Amino acid sequence: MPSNALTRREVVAGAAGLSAAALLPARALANDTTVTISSPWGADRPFQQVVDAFNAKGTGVQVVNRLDGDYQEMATKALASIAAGRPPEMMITGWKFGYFASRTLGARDFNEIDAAKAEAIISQFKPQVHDLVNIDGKLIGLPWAMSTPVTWINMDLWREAGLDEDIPMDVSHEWLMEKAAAIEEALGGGSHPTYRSALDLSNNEWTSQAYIQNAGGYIIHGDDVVCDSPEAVAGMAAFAEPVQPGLWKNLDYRAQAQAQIGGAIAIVCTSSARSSSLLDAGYEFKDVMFPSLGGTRNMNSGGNFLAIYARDEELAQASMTFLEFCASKEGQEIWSKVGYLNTSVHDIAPLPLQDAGYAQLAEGLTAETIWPGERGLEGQDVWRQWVARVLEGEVPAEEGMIRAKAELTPLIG
Amino acid sequence: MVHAVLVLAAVLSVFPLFWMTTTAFTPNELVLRKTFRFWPDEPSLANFRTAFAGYPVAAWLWNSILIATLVTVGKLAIAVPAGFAFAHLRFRGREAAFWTIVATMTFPTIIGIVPLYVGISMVGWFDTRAGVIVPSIAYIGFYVFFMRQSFRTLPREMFEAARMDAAGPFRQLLQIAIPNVLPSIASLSVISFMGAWNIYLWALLVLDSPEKRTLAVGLKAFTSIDDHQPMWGPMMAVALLSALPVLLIFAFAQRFVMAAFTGRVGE
Amino acid sequence: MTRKFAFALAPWIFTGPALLFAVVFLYLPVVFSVGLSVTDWNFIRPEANFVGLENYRRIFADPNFRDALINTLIYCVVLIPAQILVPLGLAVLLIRVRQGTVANGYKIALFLPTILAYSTAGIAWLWLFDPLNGFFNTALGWVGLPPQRWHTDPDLALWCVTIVAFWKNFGLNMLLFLAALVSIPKPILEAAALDGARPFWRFLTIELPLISPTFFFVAVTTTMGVLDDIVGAIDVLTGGGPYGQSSNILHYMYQRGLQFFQFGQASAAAVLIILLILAVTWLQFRMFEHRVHYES
Repeated sequence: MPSNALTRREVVAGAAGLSAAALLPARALANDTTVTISSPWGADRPFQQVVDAFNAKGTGVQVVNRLDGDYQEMATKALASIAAGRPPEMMITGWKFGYFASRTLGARDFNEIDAAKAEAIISQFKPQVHDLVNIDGKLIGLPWAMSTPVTWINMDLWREAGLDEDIPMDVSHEWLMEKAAAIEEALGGGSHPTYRSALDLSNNEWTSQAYIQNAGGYIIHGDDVVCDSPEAVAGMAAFAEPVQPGLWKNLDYRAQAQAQIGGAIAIVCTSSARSSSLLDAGYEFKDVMFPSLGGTRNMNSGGNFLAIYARDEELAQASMTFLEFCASKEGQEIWSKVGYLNTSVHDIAPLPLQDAGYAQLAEGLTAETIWPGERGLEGQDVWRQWVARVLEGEVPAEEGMIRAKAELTPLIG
Repeated sequence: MVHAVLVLAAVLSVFPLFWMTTTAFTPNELVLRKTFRFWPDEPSLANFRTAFAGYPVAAWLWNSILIATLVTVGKLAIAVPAGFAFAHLRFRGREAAFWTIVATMTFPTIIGIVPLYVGISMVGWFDTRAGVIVPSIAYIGFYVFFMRQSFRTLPREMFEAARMDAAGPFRQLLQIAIPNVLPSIASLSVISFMGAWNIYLWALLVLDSPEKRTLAVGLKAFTSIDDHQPMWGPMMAVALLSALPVLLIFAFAQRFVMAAFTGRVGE
Repeated sequence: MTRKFAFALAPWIFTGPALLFAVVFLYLPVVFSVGLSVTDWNFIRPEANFVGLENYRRIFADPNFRDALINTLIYCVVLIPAQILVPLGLAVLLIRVRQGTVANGYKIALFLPTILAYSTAGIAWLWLFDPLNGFFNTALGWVGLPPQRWHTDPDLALWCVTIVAFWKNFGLNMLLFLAALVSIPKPILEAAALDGARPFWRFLTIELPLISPTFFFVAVTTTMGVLDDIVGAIDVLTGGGPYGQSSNILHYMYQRGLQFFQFGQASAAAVLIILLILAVTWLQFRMFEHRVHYES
């Protein structure tokens, strides 16, 4: 079979050529110190531009951005590589895993690496955010990414449903329910060819926390799990309310993000940082504040910090060089395109679709739930599971919160 | 009637692959626009370009080839002599040794994953190809069993004659036994390569650096994209690429694959 | 080297590496799992304490473990019969098709899913299941049915995994049955046909007993496979979720161990899995031992 032989030879030759091409650029800069950042962003996201801009400076340090999934997946992966003695030099870590990063993953104290540089870096950020990265008396991160859950409205669907385009910035839970019902009435009933929903409050740990706090409760207060307080239960019940009448067709978080960006959900409550994805989604979106409950709001923030995990001093120093760039005005200007609210002292113009986020920031934000203890990763997982069970109607809000508390208490002690 | 059922079963069986192929050649914008076509009006390679530009797909391809080849070589180098010894040499503890190896066929693949991960980390093999390859060679229960069966089909006289010629066990294996069971070895090579090409959970755990990943592991990165336009087109392009080599091997070496799975070599 | 010496040493040179690999990479980890299951060691912290059966107590108290156990049972009850009977049926049909291109075409089409990686297969199905743009929801729309959430629905997730696992594995059993059926001597079948027995009866009384060794082999490997092979499908499609609704005990073990680094709990689960496998294997050998009809 000469033709087969030829095909196979071509395949092999082609593969060899391709792999050589892929390996070459990595080798060409062998003299520089290379640090890897484990991040939730692929090469086509604005974070890559920060990395590229830094690499172009020729500081002798080359940074490689590596997409490792969401915060939880990254933390899991980091755990396996850190235990194996090969940590990524740097990792984007969610605020919520601050204790976990410090106590389990062993995030480095910037002051211990280079006190002078550490001071220069942290002074580029507003004093209010310093606490978020001061964990166990160590400065473990660059507090550069802050977001807060807001309400996103798909204006194309909104108009299609014939609703009033004059939308107030400050909206309430009742308002949201009413509008969602009107949208479902106008657009529902199987007229849409594929999956769609009027409302989605995000099936995760974060927006449920916002509802609980707006109702006057907390998930964790001090060292105690208090998610079974009457206020917290009321918040959780309100959070799950749109599911029963079919206004919210619960999806997992990833599918929800894709559905929203694909123009299939009319109202979504999720991170203010989604602005950058929504700007180039091809639909018109409007941002308003997260729904208030009974006229009050006690909103949480969220986001991530950039932490150093390198055990090797040369690599740790090289990581600090990158952090210096990230903290500078030049770095912050590129970084802002990722969509987070500005936490630096630099004057950076807000981007479109950030009004609601800044409005909530002006009202004051609490921290998101920072899962205490060594087993914070599990703590979040357990909480998410109970949120999902309540949303699915598997347990009523009250029972779900009682059982969540029972499961969480030993994990965070 | 028979054909109706078989055609239906075949269509259901192939459909996910067909749909993967269609999507791979449809530009991603069209994929997301809900305009369904069973075959794109203008097939395009755009998804492949996107995938290769954004991810080290070529390196993944190379790693998959390298790992699958080395695992196969390792497995055969170990299983062939063992199978020969169990078939034609007499020694104390033969049955016990044979069943010790063959009983591992009942082990779930990842049952020892925690201690294995610790061990691999301790010898510094985390995030190395060796860390994937060496433990994967150990799953040889079926290979040893299969080789013993193959060597057993060779008549005993063949070796007795050789012994008259003063041939030692090593010459018997290399010059007489192996040349007579080449189809069996071919069968095992093919299924081993396909199996190793598809190693998933273990490689996902051990391979950390993007440029060290295999296609099967690299694919997983695409499902982890948050807050962004879904990349179904490029994802299907890489999935197709990861399936293509095993599909090609299967097409060329179908006879050996079938023989290996059904134990009917040389009939 | 004298020949006598060579013959004395050769068996161990030939079988030694195989034994070594099996012991080091398969048996030792199991032994270590038993040890780890009674400690609180987790690799991140250096100290280890003996904790008795605490890890076993913890996993039995974990609702996710109980769900995983129940799911394991459901997967077994559904998939074992399905992965034996459907391939057997297909093999019986295939053998009635005249050898040639068409028969080969069927065989290849039905065997293709078996040779794919779980990540490849899983991603192909994720795309079919995709709530927004996926083929299944679009097809449901064509016939006027409402879209589904598929693998993200707590009630459907397990069934999505089941379908993918079945799709991925039926081809191998089909080939095994086919090979066994082909090897039945023609005269036996012709004699039976002359007796005028109806085809289905003929199959039950003559063909099935003749392929009983294969049937036994398939039953054993399928039972093992249902526990093992499904983990890849779970990992890619659902990660065991939503809230553990599609996990099985092996995937639970993987999650405890390498997602949350609770090595003790993972090892306790591993020990329970080993015990379960030993019990099932023993039971199967007892059940089939007397019924299998060996040809020679």
